[in-house]
Amino acid sequence: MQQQLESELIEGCKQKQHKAFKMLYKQYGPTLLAICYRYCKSRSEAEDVLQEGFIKIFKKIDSYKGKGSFEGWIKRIIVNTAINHFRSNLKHYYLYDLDDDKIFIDEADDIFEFKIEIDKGFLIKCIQELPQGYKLVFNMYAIDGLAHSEIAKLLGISINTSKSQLFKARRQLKGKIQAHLDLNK
Amino acid sequence: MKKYKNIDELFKEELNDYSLEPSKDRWKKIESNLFNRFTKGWWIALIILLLVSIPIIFHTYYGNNIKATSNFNPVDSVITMVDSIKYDSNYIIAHQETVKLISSEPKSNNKGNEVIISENIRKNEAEIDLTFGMNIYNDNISNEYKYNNQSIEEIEYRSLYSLNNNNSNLLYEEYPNSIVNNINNKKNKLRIYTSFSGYVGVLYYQDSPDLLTWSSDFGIGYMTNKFYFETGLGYQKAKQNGELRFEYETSDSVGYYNEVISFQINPNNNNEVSYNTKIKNVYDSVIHYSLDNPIYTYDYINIPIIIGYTITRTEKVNLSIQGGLIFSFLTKTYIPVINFDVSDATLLKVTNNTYARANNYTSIHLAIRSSYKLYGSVSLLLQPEFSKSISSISKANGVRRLPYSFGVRGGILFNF
Repeated sequence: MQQQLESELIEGCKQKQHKAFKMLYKQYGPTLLAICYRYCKSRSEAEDVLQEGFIKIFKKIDSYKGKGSFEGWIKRIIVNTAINHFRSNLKHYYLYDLDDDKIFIDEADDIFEFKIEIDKGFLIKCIQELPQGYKLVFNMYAIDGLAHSEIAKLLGISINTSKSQLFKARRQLKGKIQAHLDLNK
Repeated sequence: MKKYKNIDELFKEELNDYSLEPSKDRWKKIESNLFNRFTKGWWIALIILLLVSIPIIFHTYYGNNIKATSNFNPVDSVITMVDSIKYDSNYIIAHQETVKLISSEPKSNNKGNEVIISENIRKNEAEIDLTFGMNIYNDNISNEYKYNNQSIEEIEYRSLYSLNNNNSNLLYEEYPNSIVNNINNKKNKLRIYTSFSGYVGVLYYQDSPDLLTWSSDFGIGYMTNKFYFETGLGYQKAKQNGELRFEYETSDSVGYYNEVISFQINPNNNNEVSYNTKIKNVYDSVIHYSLDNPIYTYDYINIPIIIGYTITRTEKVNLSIQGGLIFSFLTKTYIPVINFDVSDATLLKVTNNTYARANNYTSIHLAIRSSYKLYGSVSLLLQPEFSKSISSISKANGVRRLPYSFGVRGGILFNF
């Protein structure tokens, strides 16, 4: 039933129906804004990216052929829009990364146990406060599920740089979360 | 207790269903971007249509009147004759007057004679309480006069009567200047005027602090009794905060170690050694980022297309509302001097995130125009204004930047 509704919605959008676009926005807008917010510094910047992304979705809706999940498809467009939004500023974030040659130990294997509920807003804030390069790579790899090779290609950096940015991002995030937990003990 | 395999999983799990409600006006912005059928071509067509049609409409409606009133004579006197007055025991219920407008400046075909240029019978209905004995009848009456098959606008009329049995005596009557003005104004139904004015206002941006804007404008317009149509040329300065990002390197303390200065062996126990140490700081180059928001200034040439409607007009004061479009064309951008003053730092890179301005944009304009007649054809102008851009001021695709401004215009109007 849900799938049928979704396919009707997509069909309506393909026919450029105003009402269908509005429903699509109402249904997916909040989730997609949360994605944009992770990549941006502020709410208004995130809404600008959302707006840009939605316009792309509406213009490219004909190219969605029903292969794979629709939600995945629109999320990918939003992520790409967010990356493009920062692309012009990206290059210099990596110029001074001297650790390119090093191999990074994957620190992602620590077990995390929390006795308290961590506020989601706090987690978003932790990501937002990361330096731009770390933030992009962490969002893309850890949350949006892109591989290092894809990230490297999208950002125009080496795979090792992507790994080193991720390594540093994780280290900073752990520090922030640990400090937060210590404070709330 | 929540358990996560690693930090990636923590963020992925927790933020997977995270959602934020977009602000209410965001959909409207997207909607206007997607469904705005007024493309550039349509706007140009609309402007051309307005420019061509408005003078034609004005000419069609008022052109004949100008011809008809070209030999209209000024009104010198007004004669009113009271024909009858009727009343019951308590109230006057009606009276009838004949009003003649007299000109002493004769038409060419009636040289030397006084002529009646208008004659009209007025039937005034009013109720006056007679219980005060000696009564004064004082009313305000609107009426319509006909002259050469054209109607002259409503005229305010006042008259005073003393009432005595079945007769009434006209004590005083007054035709305000408007009666003469209204008639004479027919000569100048379609007038041309020019204006020189200055505007000071505040530009409200959605994504950067609000800043001052000002302009100096020249306008030319056509004016009828109620409507005016105006265009012109203006020079505007607009300011906005830019965004520069500095990346710089400083030599910072990143840690310390204890350096052994000397050591001593305990003479009583050879296995015991005591060290004298000193804390040594370790310095390394550290990259920092900082932001600066210098003020950019932009010069625009503005072309307004405005239509106004006169709400009220007295001999001295004129009050109107007006609306229209302003077409702005970017002529110059002033880039501020970059000011980086962190001591002992090496500047590595400056990234300019200030968005580029579009070469032109359109705004809607709304204003209340008040003018005060100084002398002759010169009036002072005072005009609170609002304008909002309806096409983006930035070049970037997707995000539409639509600032608005509030301000006041002051200037001088010259009527021809």
